Amino acid sequence: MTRNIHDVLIIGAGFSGIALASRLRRCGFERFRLIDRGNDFGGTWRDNTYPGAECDIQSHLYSFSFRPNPRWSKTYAGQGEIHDYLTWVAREEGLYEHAEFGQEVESATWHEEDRTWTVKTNTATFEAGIVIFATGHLSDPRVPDLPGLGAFKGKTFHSARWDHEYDLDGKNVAVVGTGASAIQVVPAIADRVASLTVFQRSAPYVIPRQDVIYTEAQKRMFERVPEAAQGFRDFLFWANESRFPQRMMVPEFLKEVEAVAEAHRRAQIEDPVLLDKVTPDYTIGCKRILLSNDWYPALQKAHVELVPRPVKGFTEQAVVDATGQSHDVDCVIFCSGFEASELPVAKRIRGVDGLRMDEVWSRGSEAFGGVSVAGFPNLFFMNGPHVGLGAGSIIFMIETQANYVADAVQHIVERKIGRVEVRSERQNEFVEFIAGRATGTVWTSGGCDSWYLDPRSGRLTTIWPDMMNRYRSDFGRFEPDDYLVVAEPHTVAAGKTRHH
Amino acid sequence: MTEETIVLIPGTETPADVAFAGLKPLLERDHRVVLFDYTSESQRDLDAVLEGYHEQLRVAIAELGRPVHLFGYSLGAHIALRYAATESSRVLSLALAGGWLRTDELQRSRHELWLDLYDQEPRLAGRLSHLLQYSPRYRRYLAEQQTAARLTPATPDEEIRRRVEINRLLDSSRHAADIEVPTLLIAGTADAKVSIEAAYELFGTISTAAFAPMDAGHALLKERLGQVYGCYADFLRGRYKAGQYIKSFLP
Ligand SMILES: Cc1cc2nc3c(=O)[nH]c(=O)nc-3n(C[C@H](O)[C@H](O)[C@H](O)COP(=O)(O)OP(=O)(O)OC[C@H]3O[C@@H](n4cnc5c(N)ncnc54)[C@H](O)[C@@H]3O)c2cc1C
Repeated sequence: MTRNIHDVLIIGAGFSGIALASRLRRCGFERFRLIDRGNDFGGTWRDNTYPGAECDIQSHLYSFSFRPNPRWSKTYAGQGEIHDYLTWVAREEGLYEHAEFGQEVESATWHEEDRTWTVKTNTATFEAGIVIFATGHLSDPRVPDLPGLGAFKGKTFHSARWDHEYDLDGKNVAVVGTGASAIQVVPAIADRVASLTVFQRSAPYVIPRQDVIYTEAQKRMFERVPEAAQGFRDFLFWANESRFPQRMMVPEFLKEVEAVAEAHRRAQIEDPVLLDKVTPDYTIGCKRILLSNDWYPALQKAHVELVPRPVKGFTEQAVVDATGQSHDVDCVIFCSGFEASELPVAKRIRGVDGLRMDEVWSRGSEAFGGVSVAGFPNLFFMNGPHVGLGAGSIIFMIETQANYVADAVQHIVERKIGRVEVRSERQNEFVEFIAGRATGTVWTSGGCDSWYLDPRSGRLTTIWPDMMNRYRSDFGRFEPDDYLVVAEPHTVAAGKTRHH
Repeated sequence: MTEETIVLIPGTETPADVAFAGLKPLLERDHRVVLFDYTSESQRDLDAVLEGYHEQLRVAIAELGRPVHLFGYSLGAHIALRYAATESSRVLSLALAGGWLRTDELQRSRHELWLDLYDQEPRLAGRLSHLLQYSPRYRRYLAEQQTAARLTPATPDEEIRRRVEINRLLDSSRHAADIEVPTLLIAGTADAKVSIEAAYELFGTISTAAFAPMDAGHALLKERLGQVYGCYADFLRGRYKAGQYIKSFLP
């Protein structure tokens, strides 16, 4: 086991980790390390290599404000291009020198006596004055625990861990789920397989995807006139903000988007039976609204069947649906989403008095501003609780947090502060605020069963239930008054080592 | 949560429920919000029409029985401004979006063209107004929105005609100089109906004003609903100082 001592340890090398590390370096702060269990920068966009994987927020917006890319190939870039973008940013920002890959964090433990975190990975132990979990919300694939799965003799894998070695050509394939990944996977593989059976628990709302391939002239325009790219980005950002009243279920706004979705369905489907199957039974926006021009057409191919029922279990060669009907298949692809309502890392974090984060969060995740938790000093989250979006680019939230956390880090390190812990009353006020804002929104009243709500308490813990600009207004900078501050420095940086 | 009351006053062409369809529910999460619509009778002269609007606002606020925050858009900004100047004890704060100090030559020639068109065919006047309502950038990118809404011109009626006549002659200089309550000015930098220079003039005149320019046309509440709301919410929380030029972040 090697031992590593750092002022700051960032865990996670996706958009969040990159944003924070870049910000720190741009502020002239170099004393940090960044680790990730994967083999490179990219996070989501390194791991989700399934056929058809693309973003669903326009790339000119779904990218860093501080590293615009004039050369996006099209409106919604694909996985490979986004991954290339992220590794390019990491290189340009000088982050590889700070990074270590293949480090899966198994535990993170707070030591009050010397005010440090000990972070153990599969191969090393790190000690740090401050830790940041930028470990993502949609990073741990969720495979439903269904009876018979172990007995199934065919091939199975999750969309986020695609098995590219497995040849789908001519196979009978089942896709479980009809969410954001499934609607990209199904059209992308439909023409290769012998048959495709899609299991749907609840129908998603789907709207048209206006995907434009940028010409060389357009790319050069964005290169030569950065203001043009910024103007387009501004437009997209504020256009998304204007959609927020949809989430508040303001009737005029809901009607508008419902009409778009309905017109799309009717334009693409004539068969009344299929139309019925794909018509959602909850209020639009309660779950993510999906964008696709080829989802409905794919479902209408002769060898594709949509089963509007969830999966109940498996036999040796079949998927069994909720009515007990068996569907023989060679391969099952789980497009069943991620462990999302609670951050998977929560059970690995122990704070003051050995308290585990997942125990503190037994009624759902809570973090002041989505970034800090009482009882867990010198620890910050990025893209953690409370900041997911219904309509918008998460990069805006991530950059806001990167500025906040970088601010906090500099405040702590410059003043040689040993310990900052968010005041629990501030955290409670914040949680109350979130509950108030969530009231009457589509996430809590839209009549759908989504991962946005914590299954134990029914509370909205994953979403920022307000306009994005309000988050920037409240959490654009670190406010020391929100924290209990102990001025004595932690001892790690001074070179003290602890013996286990 | 404050239970203070906000009165929203619309502009020339759109009734309050339509103009504030987005802003009202956003504000209602923290405040009581009242929509104020005004109207006039056909036979009265223009001064009487304008006076009639003010009188209606006076009555509405008197009925509420407590001081209010006033938010006026376009022509509504002039109505709000005059009330705040003359009844400052009943006004907690003033916000003017798409407002101006006094109608200038360019505005007047637009209004005259509008009136000529109206006399020919009201629909044409509606189209002129619609053409100038949005910023070129907004129009250009509109189709790139994921749930792009169609913009359709409305056909004006006689009430709107009277308001356009009033717009032609507006001068709020005297009232603007008298404003004492905290004021927020929201202006579109690409507004073809009210030049940004006209908004600067207002900023120079109202001593208590903070100024928030936005990259938008006259349709501030449509193009930049989030920015208008966010800026106004921060203003209501006392975040801005008199004389402040508010810079927005780049997303
Ligand atoms: C297919 C797909 C499409 C998406 N499209 C969009 C979109 O269009 N627009 C949008 O706004 N959002 C989209 N999202 C959401 C997306 O997750 C975020 O936009 C963004 O990529 C999150 O970045 P992140 O850095 O916070 O997390 P991630 O990208 O998930 O990165 C987290 C990193 O932490 C590492 N990690 C996790 N646990 C550990 C551990 N215990 N030890 C060590 N390392 C660990 C992971 O390996 C990973 O590299 C999409 C998500 C998916 C899955």
